[in-house]
Amino acid sequence: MSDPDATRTAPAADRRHRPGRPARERVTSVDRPAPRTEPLARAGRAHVSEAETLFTRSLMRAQGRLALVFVVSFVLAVVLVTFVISGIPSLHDQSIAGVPLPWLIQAYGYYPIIIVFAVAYTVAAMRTERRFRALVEHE
Amino acid sequence: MNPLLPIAAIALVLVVTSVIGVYGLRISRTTSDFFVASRTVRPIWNASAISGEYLSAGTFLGLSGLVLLSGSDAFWFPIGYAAGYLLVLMFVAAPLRRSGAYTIPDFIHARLDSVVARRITSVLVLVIGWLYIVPQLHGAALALNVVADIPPWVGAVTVAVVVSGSVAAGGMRSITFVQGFQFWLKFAALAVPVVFFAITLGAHEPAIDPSLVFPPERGPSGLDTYTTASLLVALLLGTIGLPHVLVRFYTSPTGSSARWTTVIVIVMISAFYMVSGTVGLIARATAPDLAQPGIADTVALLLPSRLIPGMAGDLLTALVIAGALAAFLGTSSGLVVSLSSTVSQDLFRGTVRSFRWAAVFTTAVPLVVALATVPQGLVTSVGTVFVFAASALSPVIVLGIWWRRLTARGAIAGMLVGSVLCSGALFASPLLGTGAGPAAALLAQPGAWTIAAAAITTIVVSLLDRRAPLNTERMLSRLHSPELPRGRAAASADRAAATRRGADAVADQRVSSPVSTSATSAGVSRSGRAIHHVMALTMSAA
Repeated sequence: MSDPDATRTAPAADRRHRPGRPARERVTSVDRPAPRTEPLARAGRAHVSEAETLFTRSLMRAQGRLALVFVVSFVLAVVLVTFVISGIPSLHDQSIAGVPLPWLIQAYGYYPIIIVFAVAYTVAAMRTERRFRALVEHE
Repeated sequence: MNPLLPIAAIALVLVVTSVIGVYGLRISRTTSDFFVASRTVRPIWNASAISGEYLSAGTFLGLSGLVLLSGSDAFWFPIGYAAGYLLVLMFVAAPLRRSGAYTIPDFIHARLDSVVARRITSVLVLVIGWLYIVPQLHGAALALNVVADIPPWVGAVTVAVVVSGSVAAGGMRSITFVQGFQFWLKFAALAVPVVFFAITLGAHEPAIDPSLVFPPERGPSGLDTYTTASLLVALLLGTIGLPHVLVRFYTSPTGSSARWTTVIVIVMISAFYMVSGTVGLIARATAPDLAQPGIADTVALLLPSRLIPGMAGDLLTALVIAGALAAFLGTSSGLVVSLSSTVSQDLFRGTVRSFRWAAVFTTAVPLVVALATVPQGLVTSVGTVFVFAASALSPVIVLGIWWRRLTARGAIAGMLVGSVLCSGALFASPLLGTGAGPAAALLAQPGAWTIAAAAITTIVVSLLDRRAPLNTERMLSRLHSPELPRGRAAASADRAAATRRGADAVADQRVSSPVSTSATSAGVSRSGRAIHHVMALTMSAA
């Protein structure tokens, strides 16, 4: 761990709020204070097994592909809507409450697209993760 | 207009902010409370807080101002800001939550194992944060001046003092509650007047000529393809590089909850942008005389008293100014929290005391800049920050998460090229003006080519370098491995429990510790143990 010199007190106070939680114990470090020069997420096992590397690589590839597919289709959707509102002048004759349709679509129309893509991506990403977990467990 | 009501509204927001801040101070017990709210924040509050700090003066006042001033082009800004969160969701939300990093420099340092890369990232984060705080202070000066006739510098100084004070006092924990409250205040402060406007305008049919108020050439058909595309790309990618976005994911308990929090954020900010855009459309129809640079940004504040006479109008004005103040305070506090974390960890030893001093320092610098400069259009000033963030940091962050061959030198080269090219173009653009000829658009809206240049530089230098950090596999497996579901996590969590209790004790005492220790027990055990567990089972079966 990053603080081998630290004085530890156990058991430490549980930091969640619970009735009757023990009083906070002050723990002090004997380290010399210094600006950070150590990477903080160094902790963990020094070696990653081959199986795990394989697992991560394929999961990463699947998730990356998923994200790319969603980004590309999102951009296409945005380009399409933009083309419609900017390229079809006759739309300008339609108006609701005095505001022409292209203005209304630009003011309100893009957000539903963004939200639909966000929800769909999240569901898809979670499905990928579930599938990979199942794969690892059945191996 | 009665100046007492707005002043009372301002005082009320300040009092509520400090009360929630003080309440937060009482429950901010440990160092990790200060930095990341101890990861006990509920998704809906976390999403409110993220939205609360994301919605700034830029969209609260600036959006309606720019719609009034220049037309439907202005809508690209909120569309880009909202879609930016879509990219955050797809490329960085869950991995960054799992990284165990509090700030962008933390992440770069952990991923690339390079102190130099960390320091450069810290400097860029500071620059981005300061550039972002300046328009907030400008907005405060402008708003208080218009509504209550208070001298501009008083508004800027008031916001700066409240922000640095509340951040220094309560840290992230109290800021989370404060910003959650501020989101709902901001939303109500524009939504309630819009409802009143609709009722008033609906009663007597507006005698407007659509071709005059909403002329086609000011509408979507007048768009310039390169400028629009470049701006949108920069806004989309810029969100990833903003300093106050990353730290928020750390307050979600898992990568998956970080994703859902992001989805809620997108819904919340979209609703807000629609309301704020509506104010802009109403302003075009009812207040064309305010369509002048410098004045247009105050239209959201001036509309209520124009459209609704008497006491009701005054009360609505007070509500809008309260919301505007929440916008200045929310964004600035979120930024000051992240900048103070960065400064206190890079320059000092990362204690609570240094965090408090850093909060004062990081607010003082943009305050001086804000007092010395003249406010430009608020929404475009904020947009410029996104362009810079997208050029300087976003390519490296995205590649760090998704590309295993990224090296420290590649990242450093990419950050330097992106930030130098982008700031060069942004400085040159007003100097050269139209004299730049065909290159004028390229300089005014540099995102498209500076982001590409930064990404290509990063990739090429990384490929030539070949000195990939040793911990790449470990980091990437941690970033991308899903957490175990609760039931199954319990078994492996039991084994880690002893370690974790010890880790938490260490985590409480130094800033450097909570990330490495608690993140180890939570993140790495989740990612690694699934496989170890399986392999142990297979072996015993064999």
